[in-house]
Amino acid sequence: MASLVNADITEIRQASAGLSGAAVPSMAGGLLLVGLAAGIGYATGDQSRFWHAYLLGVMYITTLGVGGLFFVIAHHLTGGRWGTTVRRLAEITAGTLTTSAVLFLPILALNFSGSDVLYPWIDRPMVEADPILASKQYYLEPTWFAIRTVVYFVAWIGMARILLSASVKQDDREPMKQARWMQTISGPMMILLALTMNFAAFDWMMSLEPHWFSTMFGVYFFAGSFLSFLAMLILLANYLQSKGVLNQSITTEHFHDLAKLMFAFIFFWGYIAFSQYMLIWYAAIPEETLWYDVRQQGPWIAWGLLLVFGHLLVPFLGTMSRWVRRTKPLIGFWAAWMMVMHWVDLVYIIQPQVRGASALPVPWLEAIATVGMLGIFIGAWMRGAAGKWLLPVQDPRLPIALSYHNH
Amino acid sequence: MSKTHPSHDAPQGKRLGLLAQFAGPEELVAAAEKATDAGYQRVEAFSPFPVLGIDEALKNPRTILPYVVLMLGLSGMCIALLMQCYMNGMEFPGAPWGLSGYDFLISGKPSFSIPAFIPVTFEVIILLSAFGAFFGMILLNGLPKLSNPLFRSERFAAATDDGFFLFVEASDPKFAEAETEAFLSSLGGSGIEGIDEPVTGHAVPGFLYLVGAAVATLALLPPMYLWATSGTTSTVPRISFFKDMENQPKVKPQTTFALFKDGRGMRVAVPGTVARGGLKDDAKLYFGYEPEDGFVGGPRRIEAMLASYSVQPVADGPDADGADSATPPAADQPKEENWVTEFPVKVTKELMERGQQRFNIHCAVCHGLDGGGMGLVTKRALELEQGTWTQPTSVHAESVVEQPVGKLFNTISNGVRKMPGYKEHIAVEDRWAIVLYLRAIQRSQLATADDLPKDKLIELSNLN
Ligand code: HEC
Repeated sequence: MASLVNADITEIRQASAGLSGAAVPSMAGGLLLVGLAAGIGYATGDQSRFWHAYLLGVMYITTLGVGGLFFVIAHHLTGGRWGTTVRRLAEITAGTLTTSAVLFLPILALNFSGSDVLYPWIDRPMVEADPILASKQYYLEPTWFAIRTVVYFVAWIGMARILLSASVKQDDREPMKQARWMQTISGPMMILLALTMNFAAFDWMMSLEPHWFSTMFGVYFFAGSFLSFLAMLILLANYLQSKGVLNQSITTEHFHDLAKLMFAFIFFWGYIAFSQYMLIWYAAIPEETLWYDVRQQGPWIAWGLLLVFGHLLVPFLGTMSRWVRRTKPLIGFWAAWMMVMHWVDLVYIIQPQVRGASALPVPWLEAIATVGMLGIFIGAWMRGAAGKWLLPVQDPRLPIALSYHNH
Repeated sequence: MSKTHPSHDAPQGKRLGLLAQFAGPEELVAAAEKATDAGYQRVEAFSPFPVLGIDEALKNPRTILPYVVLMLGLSGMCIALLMQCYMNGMEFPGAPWGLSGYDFLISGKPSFSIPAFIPVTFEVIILLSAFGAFFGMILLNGLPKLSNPLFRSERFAAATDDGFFLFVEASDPKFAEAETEAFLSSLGGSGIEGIDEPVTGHAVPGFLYLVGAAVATLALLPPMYLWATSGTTSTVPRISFFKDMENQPKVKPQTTFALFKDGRGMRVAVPGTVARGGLKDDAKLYFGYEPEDGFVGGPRRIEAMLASYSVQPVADGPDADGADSATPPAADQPKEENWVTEFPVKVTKELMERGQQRFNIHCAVCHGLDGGGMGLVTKRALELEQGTWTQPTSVHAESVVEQPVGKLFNTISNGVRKMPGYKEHIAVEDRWAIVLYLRAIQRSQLATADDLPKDKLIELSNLN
């Protein structure tokens, strides 16, 4: 095991430049599906539901990107070693945030068009007449909302770009210097990321019910983001290895570590989700309980229980065993499971806020929109990866990472 | 071989195994691998730092510690849930030894409410899991152990510094002194030596165990004595740790006190004096009724006050009852017809607003914001089908509307039938403010078109 550093390299370590072209069908298919969802939404007159489904899709891929960004920054900040083998994959994932930003533009346009099908606070007379909303009217305001959204994306894309370009530069010159530079900037970046993620969660998803507030919501958003990113990374590594990519570098030990992190974050998500629920349930203040009240009607009760079991208890027990974590197909199964559950979680956050409609029975429109977004995301990922090394080949920590061993 | 401790002349104990030293970590791993491949099962490695791959090389079975932690964690969950169910949500009246439990109603949540139980459950799971990991590790490692036979080898001290050792136990089925020694040296081991069990004779003398047990038992006596005396009666003062906290030099309410002649702990006012704020000379204001004979303060009340001051406790016997019945009837119960009909305070808009606010705070829970009788408490009592609950009378009932303000004031102060009095909670002015507001909401239900100003009336009739 320890000799891998000197072993013959039989794996593929570099993405072909032709990947950009291969990304086109995926992107086009994705756009088509999103367009289809829009068509159905507008044709059936259910604009509110479509726009919520659209936001859901954008949030789904944005959380993957932000999760990747967090992984990279945390890796540099902690001086991580084992993560070096998968760092480039995370950097490329963070790079897809540019696409998320572009996909967010229609939502800003919707807000400026004065339509309140997505964010109820666009309706100014309603906001001014409501004493609670009136006190938030300067914050929940289309222009200021758009400015903030731009700030979040600029910050994220900027950080992702800076880290990726330093990392790519490292592949052919001054590896030590780049490593130090990335480590130096990771501290301030972490602070910036924490703040922007928190407020992005408040703005984009909490304000769907403008009366409601939960100071824990930002952490909830973060927990879901990082968890879904880890699941995606495990799946991605599994897939790449089946194509002969990085199947020497990413060893069972790395799968074991990713799985351990995923296991920890399954619980962290549950901890945060429950803390948010319990405080609100216990205090029973109408402004706070209203959010859960909607989610404890009709099919949403079952949906909530699905989260309790499917997002927390079952995968927690499922990924507890060391053997499962070290067996690629099994941990791949749980990773896929968590990606579905992350979607279920986002549906739970976003979809009950659809106005006019009674609780939706089968979320097919939401599924179409999200699958479409995922298609675009995969295309963006391929474009980002095209021509790059998929491993930070010159990173000073790579040898340690390759021979890394769990105890 | 068998070069054990050189200065050791005592008889040899049982052979425990063979110890061999290796040059470095790689050599140690390689040797361990070969030894276990050759079929040795009870091989142990010692090194100054954790060596990568040694666990695999030794082919040790994986530790059962994770299962210990899991089991303890699960027990923690069960213990915590059962404990809370019992402590929080169960009540067995009459159960012995104080085990009756108490069904707590907290924040209106159900007695068994899982969300409220989860934090404690979580903490107990963590606690027991941590105990399992910590103590399990110690026990599985055979600790605490005062000495290890290996320490008798002089070389072995290097295991904390730069020595890498392999120890093959004699209990290994494949162990054969000469062969094993040859095998170890073929692996590159140096300084191979036999390790023997310590010879008996150095054990702790048996009687010391007895002494220890006796001392430990005796040490239990003082706390047991304290515990026993704390709950029993005795003619001598009991021994206590915190004397000044258990017995404070103060008189508690409603207790006797030998220092005073009458034996009362609480003192009565000096005859002829009235406590500050206790005079209440304006009966209309304070009691809501017109004094019968114009004597401000109500003669019967003053009489009653003075009487209570002069009554001294009678030793005992039949006189005690006589003295009680001599006390005039409580002065707060005036005759029906004397109720005040005009407000004894200045009626202003501020007073009305104050009344609304106080009513909503003190009365609406039962009577409802509109006074109709459907407050939250009432609703909940009806929902729970509480047989003992009397629904509050509507303040719009004719019997209430007819009442003079003084009577309403009296109702608030002293309560009526099932409704408790609120004079201890609500200041006099506030009680009048509430009465004023009551009048307003009564009026609101009985208003006629004539009550509206002309222009409003026209405005309204134009509406539809
Ligand atoms: C704990 C619940 C409770 C609260 C608080 C309460 N009431 Fe009542 N009230 C009652 C009930 C019960 C009755 C009916 C009593 C009965 O008929 O036995 C009643 C009766 C009355 C009546 C009718 C008395 C009559 O002569 O029939 C009036 C007037 C009244 N309340 C006023 C008030 C006002 C003013 C307050 C606020 C200071 C108040 N109550 C607070 C429970 C309450």
